[in-house]
Amino acid sequence: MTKYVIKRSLNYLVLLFVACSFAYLLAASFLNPYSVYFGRQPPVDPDVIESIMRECNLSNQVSLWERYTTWLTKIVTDWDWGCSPLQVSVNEQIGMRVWVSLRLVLIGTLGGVIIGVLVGAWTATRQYRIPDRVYTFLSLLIICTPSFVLGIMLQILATKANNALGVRVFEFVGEKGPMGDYPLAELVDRLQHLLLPTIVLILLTAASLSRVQRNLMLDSLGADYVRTARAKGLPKSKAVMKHALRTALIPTGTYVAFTVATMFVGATYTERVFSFPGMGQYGVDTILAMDVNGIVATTAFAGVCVVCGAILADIVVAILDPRVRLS
Amino acid sequence: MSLLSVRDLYVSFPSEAGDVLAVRGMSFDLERGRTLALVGESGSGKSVTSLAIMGLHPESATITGSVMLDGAELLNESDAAMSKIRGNRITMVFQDPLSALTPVYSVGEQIVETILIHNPDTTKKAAWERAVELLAIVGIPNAAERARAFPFEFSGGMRQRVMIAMAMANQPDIIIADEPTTALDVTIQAQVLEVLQRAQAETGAAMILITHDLGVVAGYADEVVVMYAGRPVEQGSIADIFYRPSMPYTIGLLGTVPRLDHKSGEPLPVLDGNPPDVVHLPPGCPFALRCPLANAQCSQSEPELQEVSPGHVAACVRLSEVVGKEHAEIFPTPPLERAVLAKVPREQRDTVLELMNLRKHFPLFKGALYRRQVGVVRAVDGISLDVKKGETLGLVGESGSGKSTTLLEILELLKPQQGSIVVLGHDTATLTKTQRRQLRQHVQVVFQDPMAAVDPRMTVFDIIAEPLQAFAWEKAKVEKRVFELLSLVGLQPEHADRFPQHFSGGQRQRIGIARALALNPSILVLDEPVSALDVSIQAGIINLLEALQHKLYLSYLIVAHDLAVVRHISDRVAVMYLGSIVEVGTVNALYDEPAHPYTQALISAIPIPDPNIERARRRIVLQGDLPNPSDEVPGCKFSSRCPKLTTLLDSERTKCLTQVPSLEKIGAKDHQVACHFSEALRVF
Repeated sequence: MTKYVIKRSLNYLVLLFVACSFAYLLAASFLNPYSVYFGRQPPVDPDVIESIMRECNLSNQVSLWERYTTWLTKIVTDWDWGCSPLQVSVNEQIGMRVWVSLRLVLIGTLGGVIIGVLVGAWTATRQYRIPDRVYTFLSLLIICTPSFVLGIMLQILATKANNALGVRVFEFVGEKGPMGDYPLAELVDRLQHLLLPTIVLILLTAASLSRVQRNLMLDSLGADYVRTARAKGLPKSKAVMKHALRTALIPTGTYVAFTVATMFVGATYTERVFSFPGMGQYGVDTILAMDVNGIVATTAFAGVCVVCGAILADIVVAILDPRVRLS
Repeated sequence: MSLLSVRDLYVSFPSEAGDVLAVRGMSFDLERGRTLALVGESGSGKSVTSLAIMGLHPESATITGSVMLDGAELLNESDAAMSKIRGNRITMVFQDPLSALTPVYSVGEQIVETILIHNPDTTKKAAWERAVELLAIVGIPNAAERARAFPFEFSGGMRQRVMIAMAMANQPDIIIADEPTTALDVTIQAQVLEVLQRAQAETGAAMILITHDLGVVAGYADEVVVMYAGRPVEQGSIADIFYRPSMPYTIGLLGTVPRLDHKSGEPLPVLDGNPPDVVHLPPGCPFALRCPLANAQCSQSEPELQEVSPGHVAACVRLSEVVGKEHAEIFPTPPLERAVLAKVPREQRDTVLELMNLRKHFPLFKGALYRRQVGVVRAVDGISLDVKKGETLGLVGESGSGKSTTLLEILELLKPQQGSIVVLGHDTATLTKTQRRQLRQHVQVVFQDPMAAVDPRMTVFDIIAEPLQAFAWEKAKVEKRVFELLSLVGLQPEHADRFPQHFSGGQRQRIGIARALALNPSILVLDEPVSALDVSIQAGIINLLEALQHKLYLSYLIVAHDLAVVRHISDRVAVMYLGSIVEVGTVNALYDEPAHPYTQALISAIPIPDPNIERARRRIVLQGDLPNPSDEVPGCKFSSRCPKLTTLLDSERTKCLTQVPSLEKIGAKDHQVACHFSEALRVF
């Protein structure tokens, strides 16, 4: 197993290198970092701009190949991913934002997964009855709603709730705000800010996953081995939990492992709506800011996430399914 | 008081077409230690009855009547109460062992679960030890180690043993076995039935055996209930049912089955028609439409069960006339027009198909990234066969013996890996593309599953016309030919514009046969042509194939696992084991005096639907499963399972283990065996 994972990882590493190089060459040849300084009042001296560009390895006076090798050497020797046209360090930005995303995405996705699996499994056992119909309707409604609409609707509801209560219970701008002066104030404040975006992520993940899980569960509910389990004397609920759900979780495991990893850069809309300084938002911002180094770093990060997701999915399946583990 | 007493059991399910009346008025008593067989064709309500007893029927089902276990009513019990009985007092062995075990738990864990749920005081360790003990009882080698293995690491027969171990874990009062051996090879069936008997002896349980195989019933049951269209139509002791059948359906069923111990030659008596649709039952006796004795009285009301003799009841309004009648008096045997060719001796006929030293090896790869060859599967390992004009060659053997690969090699008409295939005098290795396409007309195939072998979105006309159109027949000629073919296979011209879904399995198989015959082939390859069909439908198809052969001078190459069917239809039989032919000869020589230990075991494993004969037989039960076909075996491939090997002297045994036996002529003409110590033996 370990050997297999190492082998796979090496393959992925090569793939990642190729992907990042392409991203760099594309971004460096098509974006114009100089435009950031255009139209500034007072205007910036072109020589100053050029020196900044050279410092950031963004100058169009230097050949693309030379820029590429400089960029690569810096990463390999100093783990320095460069800086934006405005001289903000990419390492610093990502170092900070990864943790912001981690808090949001991890809670959001895991919560969504747990709720999605449970709802999906439960509605499958109630197929075509009222609870099943209600949850089906609700989950389809959420799946159809774009995440920014969902976010803004939640914000409107939160504002109404805040006004009605007379206290700001729900916070929805940024990751932290002005906090009170009591013990654990920072924690409470952060949780307040985390609440709404997390709900959005949970709803989105749970809605789509519950559909997948429901179908998987329906297949395994009708399986012969569930009937065997009941014939052995397991009450229906136990047979369903222990035999049907356990087997129906195998494909979900793959899906979830992959989703969690890729969600790090995928929560773009949610982060934007709630002004959350996470990785998803950073990805969009770097493009708008002509930040070549930032874009490539985000791409690399996303690539690592996908690779981790793929490896994680392999490991999860091996844990869940003895047929994969042993053959 | 009986252990289990079922009275007036009715089960129905709602469906889009209307209520499915799956079981209608089932009543029986089951005593301790006895075996009751429920017999009937698919859809007759056997399995639904057993699921209703277990309380495992679909929740939408409506059930009335009474099921009493030791005087306590089981119907309408809660799931919790039934859970205490299921797996403890009544246990079940299901049909398909490949899907009946949960794939993600080891077999040991699954048995332990059964033990612990009913004995919460038992420690996990004790339960595990008991599980290992049970696995040893049902004949799983290295039980302690194998208990940790997962279901996918077991063969079908071994999984069914695990199911039986699970069913006997809590010393049940009743074991219900629902078609326990249908999905298994005959040799494995014999093993599993033996284990099932051992389980019954060990626990003293009563058994309900659900099966469509009358041979299995003859060997194991004490009492029999024959079901038809959801209704018990005849009930009695095993002797009553087999020797004094009194309901025309039972009589017809018993007579229509080809028998292993009867010489072939005459057509089979036929039970015409199909079982009725249990959603829209016609009034009167459900069998009336197929019964040659039916008169106006039969379609008025459904007959009740009447006593024939004490303990023997049958449902027929004309019971007094039926009792004592022989099969042949009720069910006429259709005449068979024999071809002139049938009188021509084999040696003087043309050879239409010849295989010489045919070999097909599949390389075995390993590794996900860097695939490397780790071995070779010898699917077909140098076989030679020939089929003459108008003759039927049967190819038999367990699954994995290479029968299907042989058929595919012939149908492809390509140059084989090694050896040669000669079809109607053309060596397939030397054919050009056009010649190969032309030759394809002469070699056609009929598949096993008539449901899957025809395109559900094409009309019968289109299905049968397709091969003609592929060879650019004129439109007018195509039309004429299709109608000709329809009548040839016993279908009506008005069937042409219907879709396959409107036909029963037997009729679909007729469509498949018509399609195969469209281009006037010389050779028909039949891959398990009747195994997917119900017993009463089989005979019609077998007779059709025989009649067509005589009419059109066809040569058949038939693969079938039912050796009784093969005996009936074939002129010659070849027995395959792990890619080689171990015995070949005329059908009567091979069945009456099989000389290879494998052939003997194979024939011996087939049950005969006659209780006295079946119970007096001494069965040769092969040990274990078919070995891995990629293993390198220096001597005889069969040596690992050969029952004869143990009776040999050490010096003789060395010969078996080191020298590969070749096919040698023995006894009568045209009988060849590949065994160093072959010896003819009668096995029934």
